[in-house]
Amino acid sequence: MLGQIAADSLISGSIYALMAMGFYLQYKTTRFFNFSHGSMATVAGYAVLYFSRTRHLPVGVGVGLALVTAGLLGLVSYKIIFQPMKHRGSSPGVVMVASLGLMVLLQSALALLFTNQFQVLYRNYSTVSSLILPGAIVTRPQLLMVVLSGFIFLGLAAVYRFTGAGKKLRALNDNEEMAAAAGIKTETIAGRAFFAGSVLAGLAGILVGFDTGLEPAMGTNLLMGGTVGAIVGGLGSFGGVLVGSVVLGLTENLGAWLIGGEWKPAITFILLIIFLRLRPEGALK
Amino acid sequence: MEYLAHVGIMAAIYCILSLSLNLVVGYCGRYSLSHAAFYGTGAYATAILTANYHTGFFASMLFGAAIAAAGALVIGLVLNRLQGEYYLLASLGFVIIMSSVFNNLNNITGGALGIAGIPPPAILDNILRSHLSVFLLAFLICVLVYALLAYITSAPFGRILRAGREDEEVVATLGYNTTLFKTVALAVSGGVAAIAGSILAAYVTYVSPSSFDINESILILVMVILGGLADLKGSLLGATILVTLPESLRFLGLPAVMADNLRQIIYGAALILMMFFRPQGFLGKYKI
Repeated sequence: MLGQIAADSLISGSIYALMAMGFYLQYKTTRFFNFSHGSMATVAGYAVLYFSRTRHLPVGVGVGLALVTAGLLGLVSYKIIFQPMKHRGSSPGVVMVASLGLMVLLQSALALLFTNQFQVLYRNYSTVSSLILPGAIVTRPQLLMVVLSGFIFLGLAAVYRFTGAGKKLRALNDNEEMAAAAGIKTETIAGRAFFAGSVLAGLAGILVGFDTGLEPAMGTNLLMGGTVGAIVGGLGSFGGVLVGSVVLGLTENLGAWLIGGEWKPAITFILLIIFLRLRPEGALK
Repeated sequence: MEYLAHVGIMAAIYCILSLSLNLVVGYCGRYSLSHAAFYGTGAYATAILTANYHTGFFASMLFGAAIAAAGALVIGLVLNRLQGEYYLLASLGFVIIMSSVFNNLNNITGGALGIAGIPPPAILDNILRSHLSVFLLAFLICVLVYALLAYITSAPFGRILRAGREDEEVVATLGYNTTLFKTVALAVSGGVAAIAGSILAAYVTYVSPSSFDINESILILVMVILGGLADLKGSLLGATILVTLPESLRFLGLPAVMADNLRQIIYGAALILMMFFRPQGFLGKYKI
């Protein structure tokens, strides 16, 4: 039982971390909470459904195209909505409410195109390919979640610390005006952060789609997990974001075990409120 | 005629909700998504008390408003130090927590199935059976709520709220505890939202958790933003537009599910466009 809880915590922590790393990347470059981030996960999940089921492309190609779709949608949303708003001097709160509008719009558009019904992305994939570890049963997509999110974390942390792009990103985090004055094209970097962040969200959505299935509202849960994970981690570093996400995964699964799985969404926010109230700087920092 | 009365009742309910939310968003300058939680508290209070304990409609309404106001006071005390986006996120958290409560406390709230068989509202011993009479009641309550909020916002209390929204430090140096004022405003707002919930429960005679989720909170926020921040007439306008406009989708002959999704798309687009071009709303006086 405890082995399964540990495995489940790591799995949901990994999915939240994928969402949270993208959320953090976007927050660090633009300084607003992007609520439409979760919708990118849903869009990517349904894009796989469209490319591989309706268009009969191989699954690998479908996944690739879906990730690009999510990335481009994130980039376009930034270029046509959020960037012009920032130029008009809109406060972060106003931009955030606009992103809330985009979330509602995308979720309902997907429901209109693909219905509100729950849909399986890949029939029986999870159940057929389960791995039985000592003390826990893990599906193949779940294993992928943990492995991919670990590698992506290492990759992002390395890029952030050792490359020129990472240096520019750090400069932008520190002081946007100074970075711009030093010749860094801040808008290009913010655009790339939106593209990359949305690809990460897309990956999370696709993995959840393969593991359990798709529904238009799935993005909200992923968004909340990612956002709360990032905030619990302190919104200060990729390491913090990863720790926060795993802490959230662990709290949810322990809570679900103690008082019942139906209380998971409530547990997420009780953790958030406790952290905001008692330790607003997050777990690490 | 029955149909018109139905639209009128829904418009009155949402006018009460957007009026009360404007007190928090417009006058305190805080984007809040917790309104559906208070709305639901009122609805469940009336549902449980009148259906299971045979309490009168108005008694259940007062009880619901008191519970919601007390809850809002607690929420205010917990959240009052949070700023901007953190406040919005935490207020959204309260809706999700309350949704879980409505969904999962099966023996009190009836779980996902909700509570059916709520008696219609009654004044003394006269049961209001026709839509028209319920509309008159809802309209009357809406007028009273408008008068109450118009009084509160123009009284010194409202002036301090507005001043605190513009510059918290200056008002604090004058000796006013702006945090306390904002917390009290949230309690009033929550109590009023619960009244709307009571009307809904007694009118529909049925409540279920899906009527009080995040989407409902977002809808009420869209109404406030569309009509105008810190303008009570704006809230009446926003609520009336967003209640009547989707009703016209009905006449296009779309299937119900499709019309519902289309309605949500309109809300989302309205939110983006308003934030882009006129974040203070049509009649709004204040821009966050």
